[in-house]
Amino acid sequence: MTDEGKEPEDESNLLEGTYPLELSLETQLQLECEANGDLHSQETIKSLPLKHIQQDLLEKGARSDFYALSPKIERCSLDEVLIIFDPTRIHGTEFLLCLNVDSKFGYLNAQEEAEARLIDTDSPYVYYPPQPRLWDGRGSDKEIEGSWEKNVRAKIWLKIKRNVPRKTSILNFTNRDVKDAKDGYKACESYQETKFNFKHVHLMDRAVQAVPVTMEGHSQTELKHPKNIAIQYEARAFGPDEVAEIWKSDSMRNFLSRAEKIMMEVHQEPDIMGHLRPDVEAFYRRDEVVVIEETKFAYRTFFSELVFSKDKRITQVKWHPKLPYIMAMSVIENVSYEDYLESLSTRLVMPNVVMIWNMNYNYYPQVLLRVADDVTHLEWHPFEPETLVGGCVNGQLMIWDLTQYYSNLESNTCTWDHKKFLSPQYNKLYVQDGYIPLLHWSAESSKEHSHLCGVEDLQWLPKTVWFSYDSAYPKQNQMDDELQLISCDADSNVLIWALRKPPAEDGIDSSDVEDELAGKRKASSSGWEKLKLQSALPASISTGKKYSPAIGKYEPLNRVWRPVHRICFIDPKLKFEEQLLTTTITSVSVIDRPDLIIFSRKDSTIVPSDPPSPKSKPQIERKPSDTGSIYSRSSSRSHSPVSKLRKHPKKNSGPQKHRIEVPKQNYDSSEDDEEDSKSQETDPAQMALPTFLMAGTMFGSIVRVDLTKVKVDVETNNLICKVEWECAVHDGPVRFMRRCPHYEKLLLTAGGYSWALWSETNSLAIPVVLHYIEDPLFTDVAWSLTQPHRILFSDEKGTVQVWDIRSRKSEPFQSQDISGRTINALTPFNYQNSDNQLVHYLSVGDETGTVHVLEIPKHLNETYPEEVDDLKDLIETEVIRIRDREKLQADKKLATYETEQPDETDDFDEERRILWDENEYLKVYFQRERFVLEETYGEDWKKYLKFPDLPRKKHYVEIKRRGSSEDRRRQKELALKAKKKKGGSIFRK
Amino acid sequence: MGMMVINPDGVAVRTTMDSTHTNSYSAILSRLTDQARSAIRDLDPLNEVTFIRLRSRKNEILIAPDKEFNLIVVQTPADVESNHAKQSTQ
Repeated sequence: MTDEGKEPEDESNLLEGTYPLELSLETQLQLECEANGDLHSQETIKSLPLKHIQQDLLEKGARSDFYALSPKIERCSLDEVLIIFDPTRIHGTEFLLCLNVDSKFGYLNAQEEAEARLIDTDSPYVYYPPQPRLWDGRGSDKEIEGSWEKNVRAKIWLKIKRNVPRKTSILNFTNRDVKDAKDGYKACESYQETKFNFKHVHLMDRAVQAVPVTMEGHSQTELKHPKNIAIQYEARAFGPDEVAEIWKSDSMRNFLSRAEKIMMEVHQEPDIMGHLRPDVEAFYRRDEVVVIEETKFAYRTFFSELVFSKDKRITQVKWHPKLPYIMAMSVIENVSYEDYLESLSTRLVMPNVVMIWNMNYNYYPQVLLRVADDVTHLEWHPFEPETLVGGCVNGQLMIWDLTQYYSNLESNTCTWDHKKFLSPQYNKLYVQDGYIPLLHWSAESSKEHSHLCGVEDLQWLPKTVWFSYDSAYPKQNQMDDELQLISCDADSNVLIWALRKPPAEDGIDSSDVEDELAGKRKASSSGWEKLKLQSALPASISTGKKYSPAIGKYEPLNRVWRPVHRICFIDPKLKFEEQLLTTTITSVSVIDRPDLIIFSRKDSTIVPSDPPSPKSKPQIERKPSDTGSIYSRSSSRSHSPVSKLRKHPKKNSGPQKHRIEVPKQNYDSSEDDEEDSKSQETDPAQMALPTFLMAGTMFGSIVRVDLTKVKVDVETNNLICKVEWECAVHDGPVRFMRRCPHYEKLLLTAGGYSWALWSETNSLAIPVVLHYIEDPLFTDVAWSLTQPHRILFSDEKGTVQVWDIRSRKSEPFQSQDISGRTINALTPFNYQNSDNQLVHYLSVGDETGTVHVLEIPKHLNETYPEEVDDLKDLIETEVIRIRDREKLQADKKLATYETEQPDETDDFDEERRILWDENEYLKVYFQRERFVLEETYGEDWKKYLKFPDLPRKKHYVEIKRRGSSEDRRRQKELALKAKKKKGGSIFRK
Repeated sequence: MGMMVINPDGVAVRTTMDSTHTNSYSAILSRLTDQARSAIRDLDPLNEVTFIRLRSRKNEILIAPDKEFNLIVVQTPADVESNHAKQSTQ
């Protein structure tokens, strides 16, 4: 059945080892490779073990289909052969038999490739470059607005069905009416249940809420490694070999030398900008705002009046205690005091008026105050804002009552109308027409009882102190609104004034006084007429027939006002004779010490019975306990006269009534009224208040007086005080005594070229702080109102100096030239400006009649808490230091006194001592020096000498003669001897 | 602050600063040096840059360019700090 003829033709297509084969149906079935059954066009290859074919050959022999190929089969070494079904009969036969490995795998590969058939390996690959085309949106271009929701949970799905019972029997339905049958209709009527009642029916609320479950999702392409050709990831760097090579090369060496040269050149000039730098910096700073804190006194305003104050010397500038913009100012002629006194007779009748200024209207003064004579001292009444008190050159005191214009001053309105009186037609200068009002004084003191020469100082007494006409002792002030004045003059008298009408004098009826006054008025009326014309008095006053110049509430005091007491002082230096202090008192200051009352009460029972007599040696250095007992004595003793006055009021009636109650006990008397003192202890009003007066004299000394220890001169009714101590400190008249406004026990005195601080906490008779200055002379002093440790001084050359107490240097902390002219009045004050801010000002009045108002810089008015305490501590430590020093000095004195005594008795040879001093000492010293140096340095000891120039050789001569070891021993002995001698026993051999 | 020697390509031969600073300084300042050199050459072909000194608020940069190498010095002069303080106030 083999087709031999076609075989060679197709052999070229056949792979080697493949032979065409015809299989009978029987063989096909036997080998399970039935054509179009087991093998078909899709599965053409079947693997067949070779054994099956060999067996077929054995069984069938020549009948076998494989017989033709039997020799090839025998040669085949494969276990499995392939039978390939070829339905198209390319090689003429239906089957092919593969008996070779190569052919077998070739057919298997061909079959795999045919099965894959994905790569069209036949058609050659052609590249088509992508063409630009329109964007084909697939949804990414759409904005997804809001969130989209999707049901992700399965909904519960229920199907409810009525269970229909299966009908087995067939039912026939017919039409029928209710009425057809008897019980055809049954109704279930609603009825009211009787068994129970619904009391309340609850309705249940039901709701369904849908809770959305939101999910977010996005997709973004991330470029995690932006790697491409353009980006370089690592810097190029040379390897170590390359670096070494370059470093060694000549080019590098040349380069380095050149670079070094140029670098050195550049470093010669460190600033790149050179001389351009200032210009460049100025350019950068062109818009810079520099904030510089003002450290100088800034000029604010000034007061000057062409008629009344120009070219006159300002004596006092006092700011109103309640209205900070009101100022009183007094002027005198700018001449020296001697010239002034000389010109008194030829002077114009019109004295210089006192001016009241308002800071807001500084063209003209608000009110002019008529004066009896030039005023040197002014004081506002602390409690009565419309009262001003002044001291005159002639010794009188004046009171002005400004009630008439106080409303103007208070409301900050102007009293004059400058538009009116500056108009050219205007020539009358009357107050009604808008001119500056002139106010007459309310009272002047009686000339007989005033000072005999000019008032040197005028101060208010502390408000707790009250001197009454009845008693010589200062008492507790019971009035809240009244104050007393103290004034002093050049005659060493101190006067105490009360703003009250004095009791009528002895032997003179009040009517007589009135008559006398009337007569005086008549006598002076012609003079007054002149004054009126010159000073533009109000028309009503000048034309009025009855002349009554004094106005205001103190009018009754006019010309009868006399001091409560006149106090004279006994000089403490005179031991055996009581003599009044003759030095001129130029300033006073009074302090009350209510704290000492308690002290006295405690000690009143244990008072020593023998009081110190005034004739005893003056006790300048007193121990505190000692002074306490003295105070207590004086205060307890002061009770007795008062108590007697109360006990026996009738005894003191008659002409004696208004006389000063004379204390019967003097210091000499040792009588002590125990009962009275005990009974009086409970009444503080009647007790003498411990009051001390500090006064400065013309000769620069400070005097302290206990005002509770007084005697009364029977003839003159003057009080005579003994001076407690006097301390000469200043080198000129003590012009100023100012109490520290923050610490009243601290007193500042200034005079000549020095100023001092005194503490009154304890009886220290020397100043706590004392400073001497160079030229120029102080002209006024003032405490800083805000800083307790700062003091302001003005001097002759127009400079304001600021001193700091804490500094130990005798030079100002700060000084500033204000006007170049002598400043006479220096007054700091606080002013509330329109923005409600407290501004600290300083007013400076100079000899040209101008008051300059300066703002105190910030660093001079800043305050810190506890500054006052610091000041107190400072003063206390200073006091302790002074005490210690005094004690030390006293001890020293005592010690020297003691040591000097035996020296005098000893037969001490002065010459010997000197001789030893010169030669012996040097010898011993050099020997010792040499000994020590030789011990430490050996032979070269001379190199280590500290002062080689000293004349040593003279003293070495005798030492050199001796042997070295012997020498040393000797030296030692000598040195020991010298030591002993140094001990001080050499003189007693 | 530091100094370095770089070749014209901006590769450091030797440096006293850390690598990041060296890289930034060398890369940026070599560009500046090239720019300055070309500027001077354009103005006058026979001229050559010998030294560049840059003053900034914080420091001062000194560049000494040469044919084969550039030397860069970064320093803080004494008066720069005060100058800086002054200028910052404006």
